[in-house]
Amino acid sequence: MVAEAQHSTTSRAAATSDTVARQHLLLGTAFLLVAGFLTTVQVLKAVFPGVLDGFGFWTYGRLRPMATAIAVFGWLTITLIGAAYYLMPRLSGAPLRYVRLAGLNLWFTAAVVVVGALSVGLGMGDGFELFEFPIWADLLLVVALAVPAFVVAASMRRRSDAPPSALLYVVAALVWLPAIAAAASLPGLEPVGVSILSAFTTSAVHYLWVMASGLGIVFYLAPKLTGRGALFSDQLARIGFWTLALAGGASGYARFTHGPGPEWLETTAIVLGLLLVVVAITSFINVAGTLRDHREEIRGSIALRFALAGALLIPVPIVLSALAGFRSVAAVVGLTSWWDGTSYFILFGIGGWITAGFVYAVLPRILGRDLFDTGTAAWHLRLTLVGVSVASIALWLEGLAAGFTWAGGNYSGAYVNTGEGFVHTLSAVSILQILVLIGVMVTFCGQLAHGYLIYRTVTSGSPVAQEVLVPKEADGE
Amino acid sequence: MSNELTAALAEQLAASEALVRRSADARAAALGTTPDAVLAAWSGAAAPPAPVRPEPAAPREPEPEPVLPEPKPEAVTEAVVSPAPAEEQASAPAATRQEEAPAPLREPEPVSSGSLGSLVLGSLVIFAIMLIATVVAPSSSPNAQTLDAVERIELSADALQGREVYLAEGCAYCHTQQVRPIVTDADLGVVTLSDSPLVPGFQRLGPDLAHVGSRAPTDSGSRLTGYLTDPAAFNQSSRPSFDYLSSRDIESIVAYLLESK
Repeated sequence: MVAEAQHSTTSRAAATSDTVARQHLLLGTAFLLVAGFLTTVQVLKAVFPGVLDGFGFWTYGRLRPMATAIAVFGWLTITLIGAAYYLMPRLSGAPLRYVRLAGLNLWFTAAVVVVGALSVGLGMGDGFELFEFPIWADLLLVVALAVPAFVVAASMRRRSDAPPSALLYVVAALVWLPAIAAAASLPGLEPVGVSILSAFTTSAVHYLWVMASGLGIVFYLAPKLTGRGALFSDQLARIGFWTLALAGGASGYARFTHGPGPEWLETTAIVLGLLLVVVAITSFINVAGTLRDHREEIRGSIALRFALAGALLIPVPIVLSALAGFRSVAAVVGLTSWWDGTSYFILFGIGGWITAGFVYAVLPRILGRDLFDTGTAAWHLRLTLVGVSVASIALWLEGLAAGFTWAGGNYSGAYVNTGEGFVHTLSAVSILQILVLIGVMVTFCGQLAHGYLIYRTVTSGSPVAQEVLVPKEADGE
Repeated sequence: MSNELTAALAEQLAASEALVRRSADARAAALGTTPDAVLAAWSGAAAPPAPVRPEPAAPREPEPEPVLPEPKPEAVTEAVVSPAPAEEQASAPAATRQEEAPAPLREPEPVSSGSLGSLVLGSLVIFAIMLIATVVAPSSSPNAQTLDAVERIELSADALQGREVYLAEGCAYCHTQQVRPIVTDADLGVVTLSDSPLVPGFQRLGPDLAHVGSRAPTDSGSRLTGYLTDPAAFNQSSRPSFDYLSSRDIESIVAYLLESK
């Protein structure tokens, strides 16, 4: 009877942590739809500025940070935190502590994101990329992001054994995130200092949060869904982890090469950007090695295909960012849409595919309902693959075209880059802007398919057995 | 493994026998005991088997890959399948899920390089060092000090207020205020230095505004006001109208642009 009682108690406690994870995944999906819609309108405004003109809330300058904030902190962050709550007990054996706090913090985080984004829409933003909220909302966001780090740290407190790589990536990312958010609120910097800080924190969110968490998820999903059991190489994963920790934030200034910051900072950023290629190589080898000889499993699992797409395409933005940092390349693509292409690819591509793979793999298990229709999930993958690729490639080409036009104008005198003459330098990229809009709209269609599928799964999915965690030992906690 | 015991437990837990068997195997493998002992413990017939705890703190050599990988469950937890919602059990028995479930994760042998806490703390220290070295240090050492004959722009109170409006309206997402020492920016004016009080911006969907206040025709306040409130009147259909801003905000943003020289 003792065993029964213990079993029952621990089952209940662990089930709650899965419930919190499930709530995160579902709310994250809702935010994805809002972010996808706002991003589409934002790009529409960039191409046709006259649409919805005269309404402050819908101006490009306010829409863009609103859409980005909801995508990063509403959709991706909430989903990735949910993933961490699911993975942590399974990879460490330690049950999640303070589950009620974790559950309450979900709604607090959502409220901060909504109120912060609305504040930006009402013209109260502070112009700091990604962390655009007014300072009071930024500070609330730091608190909201610190809670998951605290919950996981408190849960892992008594563990002294070496962690698997997936857990290391996920937990480290969860701890980095509030540190990044706190750094973004550093006071007393002049505008150029703010710009340097913004480059750091934006890059850190891309690499130390989205990519690190994403890699952690893939390092869990790939061995599990293929049945291989183990990652191809734990050592490679560790090399990638420390490289990411070193270069993830500081490589960001490569975006402002030739800018008003110190030249040594540019050089440092360029070198660290090249170092990130190590992350691309190690993660590629690790995922490819893990999935080698598992074609059947890949074909049979939509979740695995999503995770594979996200993981294997990680080298694309890393290599393009590293290239764009070089002074000769930056002279062309600096301050152009090139960097928007990279950002879009990381957030909506890599982040989107990996989180979708995770949701499709895990949600049925903790929901007790099978995916309503895997065909819709396959369409989600197709549409987002096409949409994100078209939008990102068009943005990269737009950057190249704009940069060459500006340089060409100065060489030949054909264009005037200042004042009213500037608009003529954009004529070469107008078709590319249309392509960006098409790509973003196709991506949004894929996101709508995802939202529909999740909704139908929750409401009408075939009931299947629900996974319930049973910790091996209560451990006195 | 005792079939009777398995069946009894499966009935008791409302789960499939296959799942109970798998869970018992997993628990036994993790604890270093037999599945029968685990089943007995679960049924209450015997004390639960004592867990085998790993050696604390002792560094471990990396273990070679086993020749025949033997799947075992996730580190120290295992998935147990609970029944589907009661009203739907008849249409979808729990066993269905179990049969379709992918193989459990065999946790890789971790690299013996410290506990999770120390690793994460180490990564946080690296983050802090990089932040100080590449943000705080360069932000407090402007390169303008090394150049002569460069006058720092001082913004008036109105212009500083205008800079806040400029930031809140997201102008920096379309306009830069930085001139780089490259041929691309050759016709944009004097190169921007690190002590500039202007907003460097992120990208140029519109023209650079670093010297907008010293260049005709934008060196006129009325012209700038017209651009902001009624761009169509100036054949500027590609830019948005800011006529929703208060006259005070328009005045301050114009002051900021006029002082951007």
